[in-house]
Amino acid sequence: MSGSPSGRGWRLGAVLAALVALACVVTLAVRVVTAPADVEGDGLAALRPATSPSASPATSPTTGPAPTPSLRATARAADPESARSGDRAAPPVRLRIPGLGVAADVRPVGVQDDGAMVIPAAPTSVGWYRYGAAPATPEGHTVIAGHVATREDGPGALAPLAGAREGMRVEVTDADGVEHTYEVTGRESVRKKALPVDEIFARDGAPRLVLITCGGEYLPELRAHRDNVVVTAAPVG
Amino acid sequence: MRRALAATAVVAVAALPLALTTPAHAADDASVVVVHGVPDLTVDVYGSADTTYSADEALLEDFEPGTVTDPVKLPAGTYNLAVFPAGDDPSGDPAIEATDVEVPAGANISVVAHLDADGNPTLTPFVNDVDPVAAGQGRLVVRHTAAAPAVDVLAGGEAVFSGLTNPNEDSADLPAGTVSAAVALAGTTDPVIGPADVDVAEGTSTIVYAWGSAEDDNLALAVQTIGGLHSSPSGVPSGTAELPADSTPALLLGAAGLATLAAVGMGPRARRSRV
Repeated sequence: MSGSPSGRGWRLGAVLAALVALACVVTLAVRVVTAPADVEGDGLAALRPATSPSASPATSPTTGPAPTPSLRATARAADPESARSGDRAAPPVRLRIPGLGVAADVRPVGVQDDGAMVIPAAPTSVGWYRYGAAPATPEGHTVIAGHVATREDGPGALAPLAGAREGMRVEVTDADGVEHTYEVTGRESVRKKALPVDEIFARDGAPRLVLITCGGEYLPELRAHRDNVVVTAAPVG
Repeated sequence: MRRALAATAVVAVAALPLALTTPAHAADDASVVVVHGVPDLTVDVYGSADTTYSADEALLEDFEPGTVTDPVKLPAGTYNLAVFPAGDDPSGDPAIEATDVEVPAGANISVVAHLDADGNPTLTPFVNDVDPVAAGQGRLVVRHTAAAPAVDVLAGGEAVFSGLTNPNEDSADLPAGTVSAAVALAGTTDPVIGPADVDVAEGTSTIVYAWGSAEDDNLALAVQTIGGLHSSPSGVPSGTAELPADSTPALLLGAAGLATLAAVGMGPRARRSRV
């Protein structure tokens, strides 16, 4: 009638094995469905300058011959000492994205001989474009970039950027010890050749934080990735 | 390195009948800076459409040597400029006058009151190069506006601009940084001015004027800067190796396969032992 003890054992085993197989497949499916898309949130939209239909200021045209200048000029001392540029905003020194487990030292960087931004070699460091805005600068984009991975050291500090989600907190500490808090507004994967550098490195417009690493297909012959992963964040508080 | 001198020469006198009849829009306004490089003379500067000057045409009052104005927006047109000793009645004869100074729409111009090579006061308009500089670089422009013979401009002890004469300029785009600049008579390395640290800021044109008089031993430097000439980096090469592949999906797939095999293998046994 009822199966032998050994028969029951086999049945239980078969059911358990089937359940395990199902669980694995479901987990895979969930991973595929929730995998980060190429565009999250507003993508790069936040970096684009707001365009109003009539950008030119409404001014009444001056007509007639040779207008008389009515403007007063202000003079200032011009010796090399006083002409030197004044204090610049404190550079960022530390970057944290708690939601992604990102924590990295930030170093000021410039450009390579080929005109591209310098990226620090150490995988635990990321580079801040020192000619652009700093977190305390009232206008423009603070640009911080880091390797996704290097041959020598494996994954870099910004490797998790591909998983950045809208609303995630980003904390940047500057050299004065001031902490600047941002919230992710978007993420987008862009072909490197199509990276909108003028929008990303803009020195005017609303203050934004732009984080950049690499992503997409790896092209071994170029020792480079096809895409840049760009995360935009807006200051909060 | 030598840049054309044409731009520096008096832009004046060129006929501009069109500009005078075309309405000027604010967006097309020229940006004009006035530089004072005549030693020992505090002045008032007037600008007028004709050659008579009145008090309400004063651009600048009590303008001191070695100073530079902020940029002033001027509608395109042809102007007459006059410099009077500070406080003098502008209806008299000006100390320096430049007539028919053409200010083209959208131009960026520096008008310099200075001594010519022989020591006579003069006004020279320079058209500023506001083309963008490469990312990471700044532009250094040097203008000879002093009563002095031809000079060499030295940076770090070496001549970077040679044989510069009044009222001409030379320029170079350099990696941003501080340049220790000195001016020596052409062919010599003994500084007659400086050395002085000049900040060549990124994305900025730094214009250095040598002014004063060699004879009176009051040669000096004046600096004007024009910002906003920066370019963006060409790209962000942020990865030299492939991110190690995520092995979790493969593991999951493998486990699912094994478990399926096990289930299939155990099923018949379970059925057989039921009998």
